[in-house]
Amino acid sequence: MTAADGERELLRRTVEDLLARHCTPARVAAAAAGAGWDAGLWQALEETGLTLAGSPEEAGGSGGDLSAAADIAVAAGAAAAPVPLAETLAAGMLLSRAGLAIPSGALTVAVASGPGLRRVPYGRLATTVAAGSGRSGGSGGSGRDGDWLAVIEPAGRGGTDRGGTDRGGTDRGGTGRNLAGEPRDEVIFGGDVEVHDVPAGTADYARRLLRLFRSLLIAGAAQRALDLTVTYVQEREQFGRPLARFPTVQQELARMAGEVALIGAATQAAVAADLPGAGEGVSAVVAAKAQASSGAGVVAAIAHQLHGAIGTTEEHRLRLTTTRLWSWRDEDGSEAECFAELGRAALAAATGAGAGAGAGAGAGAGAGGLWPWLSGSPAAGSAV
Amino acid sequence: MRDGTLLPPVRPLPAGAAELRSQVRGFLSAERTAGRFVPACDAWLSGWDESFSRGLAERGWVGMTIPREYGGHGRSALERYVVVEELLAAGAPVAAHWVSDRQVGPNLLRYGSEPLKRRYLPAIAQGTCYFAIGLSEPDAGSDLAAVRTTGTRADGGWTVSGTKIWTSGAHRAHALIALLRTGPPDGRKRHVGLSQLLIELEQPGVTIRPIISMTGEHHFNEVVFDGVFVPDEQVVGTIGEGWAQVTSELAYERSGPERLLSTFVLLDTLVGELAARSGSGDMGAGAADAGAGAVGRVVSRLWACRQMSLAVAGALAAGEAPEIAAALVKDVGTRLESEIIEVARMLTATPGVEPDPEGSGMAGLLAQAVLHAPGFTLRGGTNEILRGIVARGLGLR
Repeated sequence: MTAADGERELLRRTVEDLLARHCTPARVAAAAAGAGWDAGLWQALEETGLTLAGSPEEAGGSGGDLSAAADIAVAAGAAAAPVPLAETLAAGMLLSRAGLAIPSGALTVAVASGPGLRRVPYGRLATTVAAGSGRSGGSGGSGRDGDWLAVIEPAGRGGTDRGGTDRGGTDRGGTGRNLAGEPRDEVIFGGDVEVHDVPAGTADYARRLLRLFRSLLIAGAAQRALDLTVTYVQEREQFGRPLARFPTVQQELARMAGEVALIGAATQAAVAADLPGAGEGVSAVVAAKAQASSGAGVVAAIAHQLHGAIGTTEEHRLRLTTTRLWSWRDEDGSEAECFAELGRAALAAATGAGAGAGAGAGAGAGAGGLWPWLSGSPAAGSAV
Repeated sequence: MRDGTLLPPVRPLPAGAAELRSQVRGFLSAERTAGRFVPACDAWLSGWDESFSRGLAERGWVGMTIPREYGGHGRSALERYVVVEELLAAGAPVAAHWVSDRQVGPNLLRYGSEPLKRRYLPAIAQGTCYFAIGLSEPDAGSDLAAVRTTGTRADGGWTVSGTKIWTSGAHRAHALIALLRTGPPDGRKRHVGLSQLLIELEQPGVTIRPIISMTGEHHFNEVVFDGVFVPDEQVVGTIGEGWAQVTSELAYERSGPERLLSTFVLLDTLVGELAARSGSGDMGAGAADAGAGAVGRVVSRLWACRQMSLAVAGALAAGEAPEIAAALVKDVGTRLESEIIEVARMLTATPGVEPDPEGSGMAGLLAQAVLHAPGFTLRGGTNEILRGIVARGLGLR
């Protein structure tokens, strides 16, 4: 183990321990039923500097690279942490990359696609970092050609106000929630919110960040669903022996483990690829979200089947994980959206190979452009 | 349990991998253009072409990980991975040297005596020495420890009798490494008393009978040993340690790119045809979208399976033994190989393409893929057995 590996392992254990202390099933459930988050947990996370890992210290972050932030997001997903931790990590990276200062407190990221920002994670509680490009809208973005970022403060931190107006003239839209009770709120911002011109590609980067961090949350939750299920089938006895002893149960758990491992490999590879811009190969982030979203449903279904009826109750902790899996798979790009995007890119790669001089010399079976595209991810080491 | 125990970390490929990859691609493109091979599904089982194997060997792409002192090339396992996945993605005929390159080379390097290494490794690296695997028997399939082929102590060696089955390529291979019983089991511990012997196939007492597949092809054989004398020098590793030796070998067998790419040529051709049809406006926008979605589904899963396979390869190269992850790669990868066939059938429904063993393009590839598919989830340990290994790793049994 290298020194870097050791440091990473230490960070991972620190985060997991802290989250395990705070994220008891009772507190996770209480956050959803109450203010929408756990303020005590958030304070503890901020005090340790974990909320801005992956952002450089000069910009107000706590340093470290993407893999550090990714490990924290996976842990947050596993713990069902009722705070905008992954969201804040992503926002810090987005702001610092654009050369902007990172404000204090909880942050969240939203990509503008119309006049308002809909279903923004923790929008009522966190400062929203909105990203857009040119005509992609937002009243703040109108009339601009290039990419922009806007930093929109929340109306009243910790509150549950509806439709209020903050001092920047921002209209707080309606509040909502997802299947797990996590806040998903509307944020509408007026012309007096300051909009920053940022380098081209920033809005696309924001979109990739959101997909990656959502995938990492899913990876953590999927692993937790597996762990809970492994424990349950060892404890629960039927026909005079633990469920774990039945071959059918073992086979289903192994299938579940296969999905969890696939999600883990896909998200790890996407982290290793380090969010490059559109390149020649398959987009690791889109492929990772496709895998995370499509695997989430399989994992949740097997977890519930093996837990039996008790797993479907409000009092059982399994639902804290599975309701997140069912929500997160559709947030920041469902598998249907990612499949379509990847499929179109694959078809374009095949077309390009056919038209390319020389490359299409052996046209026909096995000569297509699919393989160079598929293996061209920097994570696989083939692209320079 | 931590995810680290389910899956080794994803590691980058070594420097120079891109250069190596492009060399292999260039070679394959030239070979294909010259008509020296026709891309096929499952060609690592069925594409036996000794001159192609020798051609690869001349370029240093067979026995890559064998050290130079034994006639090999001293390359890393991950460099070999790059070459092999390029060959598989192209549907190239690599069956002749497949077992020698994947399994026998590493096995002899790890367990073989000095004379065994000197005798076989140079010929393996030249692409001229082909091996078969002698594991399964008529009454020992998934239950491998039930092997009944025996080696009886004789003067200066062992006398071997028994029957091996499903031995791919034994009718063309030079030799076979057999798992057999050289001593009694220790009560219920049946793994005790097993050994590996390297047996030359062209000698008296060895009878090889063909087992014709439902494709009409001849890959599999039944190999009968009737009092065959095997000298002590042909023992691989240690007498009595055969089970441990075979188990460590299987991690290589289960997690490689051949567990994902057996139908890749079909997928490649499908995507090429869909691209041509949507480009020519031959397809409505709705059908094009549905096609893209279905292609995206298998492509993203294939990409993820490959990352998992690479992670296991990285761990193996680092000297780890990721048994659970290797079993998982085989389970998810081989099921995907079959799913690709179903997607190809759905997306070529209008106008319909029927599998045609004499056909070219999609029709011929579909015929190969459909008839080979049942084997994907059987060979290398059935997926049910592998899921049992995963369950044990998770602490369930």
